[in-house]
Amino acid sequence: MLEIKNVSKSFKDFTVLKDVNLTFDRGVYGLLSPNGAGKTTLIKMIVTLLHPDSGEILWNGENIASLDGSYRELVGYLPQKFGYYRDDSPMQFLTYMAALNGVDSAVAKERCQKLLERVGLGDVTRKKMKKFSGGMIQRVGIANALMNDPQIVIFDEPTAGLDPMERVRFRHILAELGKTKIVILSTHIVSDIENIADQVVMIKDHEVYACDTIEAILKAHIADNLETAFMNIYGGEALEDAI
Amino acid sequence: MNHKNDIPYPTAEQKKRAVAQIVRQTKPPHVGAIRFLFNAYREIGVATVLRNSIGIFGLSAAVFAVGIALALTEYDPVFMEKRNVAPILAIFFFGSPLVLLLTDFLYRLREKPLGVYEMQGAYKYTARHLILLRMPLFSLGTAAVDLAAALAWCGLRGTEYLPQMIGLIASGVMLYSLLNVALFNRFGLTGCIVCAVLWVLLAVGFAELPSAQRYALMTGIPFAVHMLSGAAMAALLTLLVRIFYQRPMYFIRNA
Repeated sequence: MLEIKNVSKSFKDFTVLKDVNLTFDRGVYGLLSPNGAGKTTLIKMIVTLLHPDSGEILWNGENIASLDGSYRELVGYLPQKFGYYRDDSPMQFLTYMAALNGVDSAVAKERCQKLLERVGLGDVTRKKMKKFSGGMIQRVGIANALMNDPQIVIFDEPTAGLDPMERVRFRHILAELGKTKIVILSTHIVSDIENIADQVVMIKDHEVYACDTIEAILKAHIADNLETAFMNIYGGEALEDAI
Repeated sequence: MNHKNDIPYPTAEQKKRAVAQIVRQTKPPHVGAIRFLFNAYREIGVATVLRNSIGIFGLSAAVFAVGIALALTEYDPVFMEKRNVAPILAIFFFGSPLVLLLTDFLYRLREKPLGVYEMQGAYKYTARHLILLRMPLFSLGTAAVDLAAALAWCGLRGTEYLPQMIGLIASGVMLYSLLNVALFNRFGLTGCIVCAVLWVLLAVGFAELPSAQRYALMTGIPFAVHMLSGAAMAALLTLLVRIFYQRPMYFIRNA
């Protein structure tokens, strides 16, 4: 279980997050809010790229800061901007990343092959990534996030650049992962969350506004679908972003 | 009779405390710097550690080699007083870690725009771990460059100071890199910054000393320096040989 307790974060004078309290257990959680609400900051704190100014993040009761590498071994992360080496093939890149995550070399190559097949890149494992499209790079990133068989999988805008078929394939992967792992999906694409998330977390005014099932949110905001609920909650904020 | 209500089931809070206690007891203990190096080299392989960085190290070492060649050609202790050799010796001791710092700087300069540097922050072995794991290995490379410069110098000027040069070369880079690893292991990134600052302060402090004292320091304790540097080098080589002997394929992992 991943617990976020009274976590706050500010950058200079700007408060990004204030007293965030969340608990994640097995399942798919959608992180939905307009740009600049603090989703990526929250995610970066969970994956230890940032440290909270106050509060703590606990994994099975233990502060993740004290667990260090043994916690990061359990985390799979696909950032908003996925970094890669252009001259590497996906197989080369993934086996390198597997090594950095402490995955045994005896299983790494086989696991990389299976993951690449799972994301539909089984035929191009030896091709250099500089020749890949944006969607293909994103799929390498998804495979990378699953490399070390993580207990917590975090995707930040994972479906950007994916065509509808790839998006459906990705949703299947997420649904399967959600049965045994904690999956946190941060996205602006409401339909991605609507179809697979067990719970939705919404951040408003730097605090957690809602953390509930989609049905409960729709009922509370008298909406037929999540997009309408989103507009009802964020109103002008979301429209300004859209414009 | 219904005894169900008599059974004292733990509350959710009690269960959580019990789990936390078990996790605390099984939490991995803090490991020392040498054990950290050993575990890391064994787990990810020396080839993985050096991947994507040998070229950058080569560039840093070349820049340093040019710098040291220029410095050496400036001094000719045959025609000057002996104590003026101290700056040359000091360059080998204090200056060699500059190669490691330059390598670190160039590596981050290249990796950050790619986005890989940040992404690695979420891995078991982060980019910072990799930089530290490379330090002892690049120290050996730096020592080789320095040794070539020292031998060239001694070939031209005489071998009077060769033992001191070798000792100072080896001890300078090895001490810096092992100190860096130890401080990072204990204090994280703050430890690395402290190490760099301490080293610079030491160099500045040395430069402030009178020339006679500088000469005495650089040449007055050769045996201790040799022993220290020899021990550091031997420890690292033993570590690498041990890893190779136990798991030879890890040595060439991802090659």
